Amino acid sequence: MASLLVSNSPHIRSEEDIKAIMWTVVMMLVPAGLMGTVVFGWYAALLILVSIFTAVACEHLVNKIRKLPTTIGDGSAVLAGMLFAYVIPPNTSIFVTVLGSAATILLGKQLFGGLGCNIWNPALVGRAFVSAAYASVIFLSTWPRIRIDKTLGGDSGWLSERFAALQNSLAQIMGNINVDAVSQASPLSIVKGAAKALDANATTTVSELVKNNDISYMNLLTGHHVGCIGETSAGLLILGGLILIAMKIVDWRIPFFYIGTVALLSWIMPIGNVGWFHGDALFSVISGGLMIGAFFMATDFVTSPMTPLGKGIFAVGCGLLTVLIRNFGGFPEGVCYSILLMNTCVPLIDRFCTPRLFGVVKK
Amino acid sequence: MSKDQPIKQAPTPDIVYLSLRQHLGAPSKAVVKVGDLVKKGQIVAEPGGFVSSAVHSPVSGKVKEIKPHPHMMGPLADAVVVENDGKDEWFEGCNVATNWESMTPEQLKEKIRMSGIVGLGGATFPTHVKLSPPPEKKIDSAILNGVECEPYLTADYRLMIEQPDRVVEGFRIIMKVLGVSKGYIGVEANKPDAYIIMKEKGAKYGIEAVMLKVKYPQGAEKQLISAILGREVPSGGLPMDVGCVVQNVGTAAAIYDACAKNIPLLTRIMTVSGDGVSHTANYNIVLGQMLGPILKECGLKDGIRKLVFGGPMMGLAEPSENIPLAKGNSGVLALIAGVEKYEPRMCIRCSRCIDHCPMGLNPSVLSLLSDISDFTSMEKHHAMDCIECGVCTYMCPSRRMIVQQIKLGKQRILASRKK
Repeated sequence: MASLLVSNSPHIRSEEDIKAIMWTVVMMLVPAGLMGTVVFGWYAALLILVSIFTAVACEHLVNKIRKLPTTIGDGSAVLAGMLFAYVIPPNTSIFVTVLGSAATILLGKQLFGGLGCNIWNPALVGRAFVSAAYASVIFLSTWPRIRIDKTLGGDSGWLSERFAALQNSLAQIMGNINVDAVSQASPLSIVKGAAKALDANATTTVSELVKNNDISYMNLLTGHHVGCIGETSAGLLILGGLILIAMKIVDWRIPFFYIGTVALLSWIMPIGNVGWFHGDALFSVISGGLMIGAFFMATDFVTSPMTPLGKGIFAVGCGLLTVLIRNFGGFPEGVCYSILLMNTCVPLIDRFCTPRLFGVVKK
Repeated sequence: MSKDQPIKQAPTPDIVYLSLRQHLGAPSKAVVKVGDLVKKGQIVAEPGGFVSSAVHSPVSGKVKEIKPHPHMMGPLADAVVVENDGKDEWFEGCNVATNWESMTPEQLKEKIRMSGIVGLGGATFPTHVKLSPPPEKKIDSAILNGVECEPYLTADYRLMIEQPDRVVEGFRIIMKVLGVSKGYIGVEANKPDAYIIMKEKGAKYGIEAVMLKVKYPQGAEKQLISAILGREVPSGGLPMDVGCVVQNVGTAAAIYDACAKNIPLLTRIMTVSGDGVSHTANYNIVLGQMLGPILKECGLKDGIRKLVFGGPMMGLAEPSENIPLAKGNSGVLALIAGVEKYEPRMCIRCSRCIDHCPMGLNPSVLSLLSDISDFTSMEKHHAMDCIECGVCTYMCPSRRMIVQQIKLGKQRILASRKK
């Protein structure tokens, strides 16, 4: 008989390890990236791949320097690189993408000691880094137009005719695209701008502003509007997020309370010259980066609280900050900074929200 | 599946190794000498204190030696080795039916103590101690644990459906000793046949069968009480603090044999399972029998990597199959797949351990504190409340050895308390 292993119990382990979790999350993000490619063109796909490659290379490099076994196989670097690409505009230069993705892994993750040790969500650190260093890259006043509908030609030389045709037909199936789309501001900034331009005594609601500016809810859901590469397709992100919840990989509380808080407060809070209780919950929820933030960024295990109560507090805090930034802040979108700020509060939340010990009765 | 295998009687071995450390508490003290002739059911070692237990010979024959021998719970412990003479002669007074109902609770308790009965679910705590709560603790309910304490094990289930009368009669004796009129038998919902039999047999004695959700660790004492009575044993407390006493179904059957038939604890039922055997089985085996031959009979495969005595979550991995059966051994698992050594990674704070901890602990924090040897803080984070069920380690995607680290912390905390 071969020699027997002697070890402490338990002797069996769940099959779900870090690798399984990370790669599943990556899979759930793929559809939104594909949609981003359909809407914004092949350059978007190139940026995603460049970002993933940079992230994996940086992870490997740090492992080498620290003389640790490489951790690129666990999928966490791929996930971070992917998420970073999803939250940058589709016309970002390759150079800025590489820089941001490197910041994601080096500043966001490895500087703290790698997976499990970081305080802030790495992809959002990368985005915050790029927006500080290259503000004009992230805070666009006009975004590149959606490149789906045109007979693709000169500006995308490396794109083959066949794929262009496929892209066109996909786009036609998935929504009513304005064939003559031109560069424009993102839906959130259009509405914010319109709200500010209103008369001080106006009784207009946000829903009316949305309608007046020809913003279609269906296009917001399918992703046919300007925005960052992977954040525009609210529908596919919701689908991926719900699958992760059903697989019990992420907890339902964070997305539920985050989105719920944003919905409620967007309806309540004034924006520009639109008064109290005139907001549009649906519009606020499906535009901007809320879906990718709520389902894929705020739910990052490492940077979110561990107990159910803590998760709830964290999510409500993210929602509150998002609406405050969106409605009263200088930026049209607040998801990135709201999550980063709440990440900072996680140790404090964890300290006060401890699990209920068995056998200790509440008085 | 071993669930469908009827209990088989294993052949009586030529030699038995009766360890004096088969229970929690002080080791037993041998009362025979090398060369003595003993009969089946004769006491070979008496309890070495109040929290201790007796050992009896399951065969008739000659005491060959008394010396340290490998046993289930550690490297070596004194064992009385008896050579079977094959005559199968009962010791005087053994295997004689008596009417237990005419005995007083005190007499029953003494009978249980001298019959070497310990918790057969695996904890091996001496049963008479558990049945002697201090007078200030008012006991109002007795609970019988028919929940197999771990996955893979089916010994309790087979006992309940094949020999329900032993279980129910034994439970009645327990209830008489404790002076309670209300008894509950907890059975998991995936064993409806056992539930029905227990319900029918127990009804006329004030014994209620309770169907419980299938989950691990449902068979842990505190979780079982909470599931049946809705009472939570206070942190640091014992079941008697909430007015109940829990016994395993196998223990009840052994109590019945002791009190109604004058047969001390000589055998137990054990499951053989895992991917390292070609067929799973449930055996009735005499205590002290070497388990190697039993495993061979089940088609032990060559490539086995791990031999676990007990269940997969809390059982003990043994270095050899040449270990005698002890009172607390409810199963042997021969494992091939899934026993590789895992490299622990940093905690990714996924909170699976917190979500699944039956005691409401934060195993993640305890594990991190153990990493830096901060045992004082571990105590503040309630490490001593851990029941060591292993769910945290099982669930951990970072493959951290959480429960192992908590066990270490508990030992260190206890050591520092003694100082």
